[in-house]
Amino acid sequence: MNKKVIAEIFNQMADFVEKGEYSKKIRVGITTLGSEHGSSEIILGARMAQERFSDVEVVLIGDRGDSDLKCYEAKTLEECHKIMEDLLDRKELDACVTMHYNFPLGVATVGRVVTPAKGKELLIATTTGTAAFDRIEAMVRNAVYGNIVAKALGIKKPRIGILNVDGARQVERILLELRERGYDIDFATSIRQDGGLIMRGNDLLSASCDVMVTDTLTGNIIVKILSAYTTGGDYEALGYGYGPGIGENYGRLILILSRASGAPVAANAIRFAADLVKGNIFEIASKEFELVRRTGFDDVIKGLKGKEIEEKQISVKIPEKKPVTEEISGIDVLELEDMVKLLWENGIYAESGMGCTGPVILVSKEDYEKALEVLNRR
Amino acid sequence: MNPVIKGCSHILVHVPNVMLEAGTTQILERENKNSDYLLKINDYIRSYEDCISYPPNQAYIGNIYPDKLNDIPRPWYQNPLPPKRFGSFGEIMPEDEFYALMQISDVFDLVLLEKDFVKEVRRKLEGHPLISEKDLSRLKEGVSLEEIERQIENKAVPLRFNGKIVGCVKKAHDKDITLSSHVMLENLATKASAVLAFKHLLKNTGMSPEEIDYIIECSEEACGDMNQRGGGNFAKAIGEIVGCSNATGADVRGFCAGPAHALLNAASLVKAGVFKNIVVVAGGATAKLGMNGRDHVKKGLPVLEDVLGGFAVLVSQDDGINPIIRLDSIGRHTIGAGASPQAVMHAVAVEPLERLGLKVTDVDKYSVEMQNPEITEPAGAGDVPKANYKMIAALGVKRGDIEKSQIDEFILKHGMPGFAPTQGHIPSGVPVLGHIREKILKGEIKRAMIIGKGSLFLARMTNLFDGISMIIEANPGVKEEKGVEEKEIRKMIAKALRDLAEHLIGSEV
Repeated sequence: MNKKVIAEIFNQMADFVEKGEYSKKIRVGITTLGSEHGSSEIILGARMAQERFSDVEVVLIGDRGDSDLKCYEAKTLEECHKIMEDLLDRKELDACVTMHYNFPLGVATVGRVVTPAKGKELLIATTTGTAAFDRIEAMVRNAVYGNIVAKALGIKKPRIGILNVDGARQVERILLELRERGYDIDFATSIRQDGGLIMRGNDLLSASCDVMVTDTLTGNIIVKILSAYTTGGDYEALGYGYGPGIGENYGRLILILSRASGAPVAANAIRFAADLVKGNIFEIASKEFELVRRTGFDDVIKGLKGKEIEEKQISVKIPEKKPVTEEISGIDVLELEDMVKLLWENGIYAESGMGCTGPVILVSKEDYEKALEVLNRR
Repeated sequence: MNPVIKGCSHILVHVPNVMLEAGTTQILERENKNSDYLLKINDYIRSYEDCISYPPNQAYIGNIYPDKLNDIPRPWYQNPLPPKRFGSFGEIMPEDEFYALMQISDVFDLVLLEKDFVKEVRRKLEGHPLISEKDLSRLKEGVSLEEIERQIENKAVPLRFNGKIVGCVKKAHDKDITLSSHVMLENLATKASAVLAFKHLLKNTGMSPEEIDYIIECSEEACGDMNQRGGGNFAKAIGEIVGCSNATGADVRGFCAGPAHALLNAASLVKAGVFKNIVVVAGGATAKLGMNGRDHVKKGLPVLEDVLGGFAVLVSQDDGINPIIRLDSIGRHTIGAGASPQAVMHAVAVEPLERLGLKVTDVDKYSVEMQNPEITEPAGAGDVPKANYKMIAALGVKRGDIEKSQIDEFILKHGMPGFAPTQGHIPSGVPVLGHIREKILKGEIKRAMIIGKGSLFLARMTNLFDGISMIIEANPGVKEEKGVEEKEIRKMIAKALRDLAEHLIGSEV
């Protein structure tokens, strides 16, 4: 039997005896270095989280400060990132909160803000990172990433809106096409009179959707504005930060803060991380990506961006169609189409095929001899 | 719950005399009174020894892995291997024993065998590991040569062995051509070779015939009468002889792609929980014997198409061990897909991979039409498996999975040399199942793709082509539900604590 599991259970029993509470804790790390407000600000956020959330064990990476939380010492932010990656890969941590971290291409973060109009929460997809090089493709991916995070937070049918930025209409067309092909996605309606799923600034303030899709730079600005508008700007006091990096086959749960984030946001980011762990974010992500792939996502992207360059066909007049029952085999599979055209040029109706005996050219009985002659001349 | 491939059998039957009698090429040639081919053919017929020592045949029954053929110099018929009759998947049966097996499989007294011949062949069959007392009891005493000759005058098809007439197959109806002696020979040969494959499958899997629930037969023959030419049902007819008293079944047809469609049906029925153990089985096609014989003789080769093929596969519920058939991404050539090789191979081989986010290089081995190139090349049809692999490789280049310069390397690594007889459905995807299953179980490969294709124009009903494919993968093992172990441990510790509590209370009193 697994000694580690047994030891873990004994530890939990000890906790129960000592504190009278009993549950398996979610381990969330937070790196303390690099903040514009000093590491004490982040450590304060970590302590706030530890006091408030009984289901979380907060672990520091970097600087301990005056806290008695478990801490992995590190001198620089780079070192913090190395330790963080290692702890996540070894499953010592379930998630980690950090700042100034570079995600690989294809990964972008989904932020979580509280909107001013009615105090409603809103996910911003996305806020840092690059989902794809192409702006339109990136925004379509952002919609998928936002959908994943919303589902992990327990929203069964997240309502998606697209912020009215450059490319919004194209993104709308592609998302509708994906839905047509069977991707399970729901859309919000704008509070403005025109309605529709393209969201205006007003919708941003009132959170009339669950997920706001936008390009990353705009998303980043939105999070900054909505978390610092009460403080004069240099201290982000509201919301949950820039959120988790999501991407296909990306296996680490890393959430982002900015260097201007204050203690309340750091504490909320830890809460956000724990919510995602509880919501089985990775399971949801792999299911979602599978679904998207099955709808032929790549084709849709290619087709609607008009990237596909039609191969120019050399136009040959096709002779009149007739029943073809004679097989000519033994032609190199890669030259087959050219040979069919060659026969057409010679006035012989022919079709190519790939049957049980490999690649064949089919011609009618009366053309068989002549066709062989034409092909043999080649 | 995934369906798994629990076992396979692959058998051949050496039938040079049936080839002369019933192969369509030879029948058509008979119209030509002074046929050079028919005059010469007897000098080009292989002995049983030559047939079983032929390297592709040894690969088919499982004594060598097909890739090994790359190391044996061509022509293979001049580089024989040790002549082993039995292999890990099945055997190569000689013609005299097969005639007896045809009679054992015949329930309408259509196969007559000569008395002395029966005596001899009975002795041989008594030594066969899979022929039971019950089977032998179905073998009749035999009749006189005169009786057989009288039947041949009445349109029975003669059965010859070692230059002598040793029996015949009678017609089953006076007027009905679908029950003529020629058709009955075809159908009984299909049935008997399927019975042989079925028996080997039961031996290879250690199953008893009573455990089989359902049988799907997928050869290319049609049995029926003039009112329903292909009505069926080979499946139950075969199951009856083998002793599958608890099974039912039916036939699935799709030209050469028949076996792939049958396998898909079997896997789906198992996954749906309708049946637990399904056998997909097919016997050989006498019509295709010696199909390219004219070219073989012209070029001085032995007539290599002198064997009937047969196979059987057991598809069962997930056991956590055997390779699984993935039903979540079946390759299919749809009616609107187009006929060009590129369109067919894209639909059948590439699309199912794309749906799963896989590259063409993520499949360790592809099985296409595994026709033996030594048979097809003299007839000008080229190397059929190689042409198929080349197309897959070309599509891989187009996708950016491999470089153009890597095409040959891809064919060598992800393909196999052709080794199966040109029996239509027999080479189509399925002949590698036995080898693939073993390699996956040994952990040498992880994923294979079985592709079956068909030329439907042959029936003059449609000009469409057909193709179907499925991915076979290593079994991920029966996954324990998350936290099962933890739950168990919690229970144990809780029990220990309760025992302790009880003990404390007990000791105070």
